[in-house]
Amino acid sequence: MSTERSRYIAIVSWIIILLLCVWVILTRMQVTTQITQFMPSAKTGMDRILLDQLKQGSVSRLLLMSVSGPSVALTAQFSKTWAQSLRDSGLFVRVNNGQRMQDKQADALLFKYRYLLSDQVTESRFGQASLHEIFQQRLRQLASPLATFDKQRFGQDPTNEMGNVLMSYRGQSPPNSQHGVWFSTDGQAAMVVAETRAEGFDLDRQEQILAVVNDLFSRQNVSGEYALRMSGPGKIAVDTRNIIKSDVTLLSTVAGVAVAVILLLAYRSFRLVLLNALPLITAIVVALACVTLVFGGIHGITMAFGITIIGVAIDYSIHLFSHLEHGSDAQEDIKRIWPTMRLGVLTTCSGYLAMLATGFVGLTQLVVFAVAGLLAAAACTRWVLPKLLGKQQGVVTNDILPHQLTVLLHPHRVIPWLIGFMVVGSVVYLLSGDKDIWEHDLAALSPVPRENIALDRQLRSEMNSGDFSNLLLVTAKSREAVLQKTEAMQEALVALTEAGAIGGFDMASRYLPSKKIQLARQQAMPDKGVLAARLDAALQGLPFRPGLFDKFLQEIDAVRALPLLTFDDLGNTLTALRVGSLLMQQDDRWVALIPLHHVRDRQQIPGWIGRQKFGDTVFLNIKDASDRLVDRFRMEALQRTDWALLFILGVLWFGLRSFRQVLVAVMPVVIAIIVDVALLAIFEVKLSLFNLVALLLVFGIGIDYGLFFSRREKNYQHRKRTLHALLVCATSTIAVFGILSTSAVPVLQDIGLTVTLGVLLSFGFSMAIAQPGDQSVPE
Amino acid sequence: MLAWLLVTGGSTTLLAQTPEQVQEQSQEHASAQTQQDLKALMQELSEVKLRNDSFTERKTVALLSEPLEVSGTLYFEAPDHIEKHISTPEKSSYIVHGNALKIQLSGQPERSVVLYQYPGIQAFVESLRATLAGDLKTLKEFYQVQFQAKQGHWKLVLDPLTEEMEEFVRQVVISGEGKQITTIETVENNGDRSVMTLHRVH
Repeated sequence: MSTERSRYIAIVSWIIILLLCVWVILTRMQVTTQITQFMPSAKTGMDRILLDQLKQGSVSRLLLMSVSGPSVALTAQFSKTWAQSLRDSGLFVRVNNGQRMQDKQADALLFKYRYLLSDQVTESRFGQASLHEIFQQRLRQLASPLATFDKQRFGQDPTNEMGNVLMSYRGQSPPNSQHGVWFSTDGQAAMVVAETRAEGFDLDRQEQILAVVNDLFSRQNVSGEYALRMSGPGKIAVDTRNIIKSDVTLLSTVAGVAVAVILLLAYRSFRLVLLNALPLITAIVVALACVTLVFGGIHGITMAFGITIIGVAIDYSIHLFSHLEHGSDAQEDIKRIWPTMRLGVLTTCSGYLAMLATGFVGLTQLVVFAVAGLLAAAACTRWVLPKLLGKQQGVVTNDILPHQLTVLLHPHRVIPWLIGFMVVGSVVYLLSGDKDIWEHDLAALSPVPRENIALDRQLRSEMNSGDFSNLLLVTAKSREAVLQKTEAMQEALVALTEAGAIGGFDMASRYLPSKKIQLARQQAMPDKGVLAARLDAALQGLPFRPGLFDKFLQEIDAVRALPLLTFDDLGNTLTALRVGSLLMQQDDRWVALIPLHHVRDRQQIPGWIGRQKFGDTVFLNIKDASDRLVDRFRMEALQRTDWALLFILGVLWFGLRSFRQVLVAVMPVVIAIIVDVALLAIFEVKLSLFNLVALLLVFGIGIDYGLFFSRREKNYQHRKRTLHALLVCATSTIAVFGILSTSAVPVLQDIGLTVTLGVLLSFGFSMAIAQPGDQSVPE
Repeated sequence: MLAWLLVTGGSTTLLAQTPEQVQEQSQEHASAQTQQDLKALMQELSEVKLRNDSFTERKTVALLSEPLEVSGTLYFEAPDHIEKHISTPEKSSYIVHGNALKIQLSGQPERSVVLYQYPGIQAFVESLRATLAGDLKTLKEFYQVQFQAKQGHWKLVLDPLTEEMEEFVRQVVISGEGKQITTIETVENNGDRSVMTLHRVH
């Protein structure tokens, strides 16, 4: 009666917990796919700027498009009509294909503020002599055949300040242009840049936009002669999500079928195959709920990666099933293997917990996910599964384990030598030469398929978009202060450019001068009456039509009362985007970025900064710095690995209380990991943080193998059951991760390979090394 | 046919129509004879591989109270080299070779630009260069071309097709006698006008 009751209680409380978790998932869980949220959280200001730069590249809502067609002229025409249809779609804030009319809004703003923006504006510029000189020059220019194109604003802007403003604005190399539209640097494809109204991270909207863009394109591309390529943060994110989605769906289906077949072959019972899924389902549901409760949401990568990690949960039920004895109650069978299983779960969990303190949001989520999932799966196997199984037709060992396989319990004595040879070989291989087994590139942590990254780089370079790889970072207390600071550096930077040390530079104050400078220019403007007199004198003897400069006079007067140009005035113009990317606020500081183009010798820049005595100015090479950042995050993770190992050994010691047993359980997996790393190095897989986590997974699985192989069993039959369980575990794990290694997502692919190799090696080594000692005597 | 063209005022009314409509009409109305004459003229022009003319140009500009007089020489070498040297009011040179435009102004360093990056200027250059080269195909890429001829005198009326050119120039009219080009008249959108008269240099 009481067993019936406890059985009832266990199952009901399990169901209640599951329902609660499902409720949490349905009501509170938000899946984020933004890679930025998976990235390490940066501690120093410099790292944050760096990560912002890396994350955004430019702006998250940009869509880069390239259209190639049968001829340059036709492609240009296509670009014009196509850009117009994109504009008409209303999905974009702006669509720029290089056609002049695009900048009209910005042009009007620049024209209005030209006297505050032009660096030519000084008091003497509007003196009589200077004006006379300018008029004479302009008169001569009217003889030019090109005057047709640049005399429209002469009466309004005789000193051509607009020309000066545009010159400094276009100082950056603009994209190549043919027939009035932008072309790639090789002149083959028309380039279009669009900024979506939707946020770059709003993947559903981005996906709709991409569909509309494709549709508009194919409608115009009736002949089929044109080809469209697209990239941009939104496009990449959508593609990645779709690839992960379809990949995970496909691979998990294939893996699920494979595991079901393996289990069916092993146990010849549909019921067991179905029951086997319960701990896994429990694990996933509980893990999702826990991560949701702790973090308020879950990252897509955590979910995909986490589910592969806790896929190991099926091992627990496999151990139980293989130990089900004919006629005995499953509740008794589980008690027999529980101590070993418990120790395995606890060591694995303690390994993950040691990773908790890395400043890596994604990794922290992953740890919580894995630990919660594994504990839930083990609990389900211990307290729920046996109650569902009850007393039943057990598994007959002789039936399920082919006799030939028992030979695995008695490895040939030459095998340890072979293993020794492999380990020594691996160590020698890893230590020899100047091998770099680590992945330094931050991009490798991204789940984005390599082809997308390559296309993005190509389109960006074809767009000739700014080079942000070398930066000066200037900090100050306010926007105004930092603008003034960069303005003070301008002269030295021009000198540096003229000396050929750099090819050029860009700075926010070029587009938005500090208030100080704007005010100085404003004060340089003459009074209307004074200017009118000077004009009259300057125009003496020149054939300009009377009244031509009335508007000039009025506008100069208006400028004197014009409120200074602020960042907000720039609104939604290209200039605002550019200034925004060169100037940013960080807590209570303002940081200006000065990209240096074509730096001849990076080593010399810091010395130059020192000589110029620029305070609060740092030189940053993005590639070097991001490499350092990745290395630091990895070092952090590696240090945790030391802790993880200590934790694991501690837990094992506590559970086994025997030096020999701990050694026998741990040694196989340790050397398996060494050989695994050596093999990965041979396959030229660079180790990233994800590989480290995958190795941790291998460690957990391997420890299980070591523990179960070295288990002291009551009799030989039990040893055979254990061997059976381990064979089923290893086969199914290798099947799952082998399938994962065929994924199109680089991260999943690397994990798949790492774990497949690791599990194969751990199984072999545990089998050979983890002997229970003199305990087991063959029957 | 000619009368009709003159009565309708050539380009100004036609401009309001789309190029397709214009094409249709000219196909309808322009006699096969006119088209053939145009082709014959272009063929004739293309046979002159080297030209050297002096020119005087009278520019009527809204900015100025009196017209501006410009003079200099125009040099052409088939198929795509053209030089405009201005001697008064101030020395300057504009040299186009293939896709490159070189600008030499007195007292300033030489500037060089790639033509196709400035579609307005490109169209402007082709009005003269393609005509001198007898390259009807290129001319038609940039302009709606109308041809009128009378007793050895001929006239090409060019209406811009590209929006970059349309923004600035209303019409270019090139007149000549046989293989010699005599005047080039440019009417700009703001009403400014330039008449360039050419004389062969022997």
